[in-house]
Amino acid sequence: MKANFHLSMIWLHRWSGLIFGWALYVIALTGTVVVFSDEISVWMQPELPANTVAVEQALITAQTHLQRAAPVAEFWSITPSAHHGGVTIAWAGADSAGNDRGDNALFDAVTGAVVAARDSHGTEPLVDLHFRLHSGPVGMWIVASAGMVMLLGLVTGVIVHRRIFRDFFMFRIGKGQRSWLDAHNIAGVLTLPFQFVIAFTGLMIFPVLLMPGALQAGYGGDRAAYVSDWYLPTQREASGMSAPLAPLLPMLAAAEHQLGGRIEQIAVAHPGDAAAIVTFWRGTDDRLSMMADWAAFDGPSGRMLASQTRYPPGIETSGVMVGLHFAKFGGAWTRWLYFFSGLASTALIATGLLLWTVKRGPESGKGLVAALNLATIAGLPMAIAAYFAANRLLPVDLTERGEWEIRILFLSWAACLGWALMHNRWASWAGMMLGAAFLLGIATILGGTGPVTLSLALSAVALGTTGLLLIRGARA
Amino acid sequence: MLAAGPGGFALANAAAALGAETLPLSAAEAVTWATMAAFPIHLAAIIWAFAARSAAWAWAGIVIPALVCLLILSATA
Repeated sequence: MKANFHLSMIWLHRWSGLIFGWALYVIALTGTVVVFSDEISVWMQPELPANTVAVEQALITAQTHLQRAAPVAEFWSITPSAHHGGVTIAWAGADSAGNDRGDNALFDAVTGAVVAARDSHGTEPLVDLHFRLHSGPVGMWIVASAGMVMLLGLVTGVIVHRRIFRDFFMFRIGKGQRSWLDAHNIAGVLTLPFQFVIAFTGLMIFPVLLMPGALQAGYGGDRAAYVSDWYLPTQREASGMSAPLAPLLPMLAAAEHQLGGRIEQIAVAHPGDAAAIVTFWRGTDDRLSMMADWAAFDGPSGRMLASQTRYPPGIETSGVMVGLHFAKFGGAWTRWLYFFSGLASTALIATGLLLWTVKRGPESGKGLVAALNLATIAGLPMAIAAYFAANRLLPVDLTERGEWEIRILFLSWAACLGWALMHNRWASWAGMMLGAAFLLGIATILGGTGPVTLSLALSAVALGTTGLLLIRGARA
Repeated sequence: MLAAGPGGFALANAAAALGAETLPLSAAEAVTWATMAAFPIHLAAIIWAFAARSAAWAWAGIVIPALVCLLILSATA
């Protein structure tokens, strides 16, 4: 029975790894890159005002603008950026002339002028690849299954390699399959705790969506009813009587004092009405739990109505799970730790996929697996590099510019796939690595100065070196 | 394979539903904890299904606990 169990775990590890390996590689690599999502998104819009601005300043600018543009609207929303000097101002309802419309734009938080930044979606397509493979709800289920398979791979992986911790200290270079297996083991042991946390917390981002049984039993599947049982910022209908909105600045001070942290977003429901409500949400980047504390104020008087800073233990726990996944809580060092753990996990998946073909040899009719390996492992870095290069190369005033950046990401990936299906040799691996290095080089040269550009340069060097080593290896 | 994936998923959801109904907590807390616990249950069910001696054993280990959950559920409802 025991030997049988061991064998079935080997079988399970091998096949679940192959079927979900490509998806897991895409998830791991994009997840690793978007650890620095905020920084990269700012890098992709170099026209943004660089210096961050105090929330107070942004709020004064926003209220001045909104009082003029839409004094009696349905709602205002003010989001001062923590990463650049802009403030996103949105509103809907009646404008100053009484026409029903809305607006959503980025303003300079100091001058109040609209920021004319190049059209780019920043890291959005990478995040979209990470959590649903750019394929909507179907993709989300595939990613969730892949997360489950990842947990399964970790558990069965430990069972398969009974001597895994001893093997950890063994690395035999230049021995073909044995070397790949050693690399796979080292990456696996190193990142085991990280992967376990990242896979489980990933599933915990939409738990009741992925595992709806409890919600069905407790609330008849009504997610809004469930959430409103523990998170319900004060709301009320418009009264129809007009009353001027009090200045927002004193309310901001009271909210900061009450919530004890930086305010991330401010919303005003029916400004100009006697029943207006101003709600402040606290940012969560300085702590583990991603539950956004809030404080609500009466619009005309500026008096605090209610606030929430505590949650039931289970809710708090799930908020911490989400925080552990997004990695915003610990500042730069934590995120570099996540980044390198992510990189090692990506390597774990890549070596696992490669083992599959190395073990069977190129002539054993596994050409499709090998081609998909090439298109995924080397093709995706090249496509991401093309995305970053396109951000600097496309004309700034191109129509649908942001869409074109995304199209270039996927077109270059498709080109890699096409190439891999036709010419799957070591030279193709080297070519894609060098291509990625070249594109990242372009992004570096045109990228200005700063940590993101430096990171792109280092990635270019790393990929370029790998490519050159591959060429040398192919000649030898 | 069917027992492991969809079967295990059904078992995990049945267990979660049972937890949501029976845990001595507020409704929201019971749903939250039961949902979180359901993921490891699904994982254990998958490993069970692949480690089982035969397909019949695999199915039995999934279906019987799921039925027990649903029975208790209907008894308490």
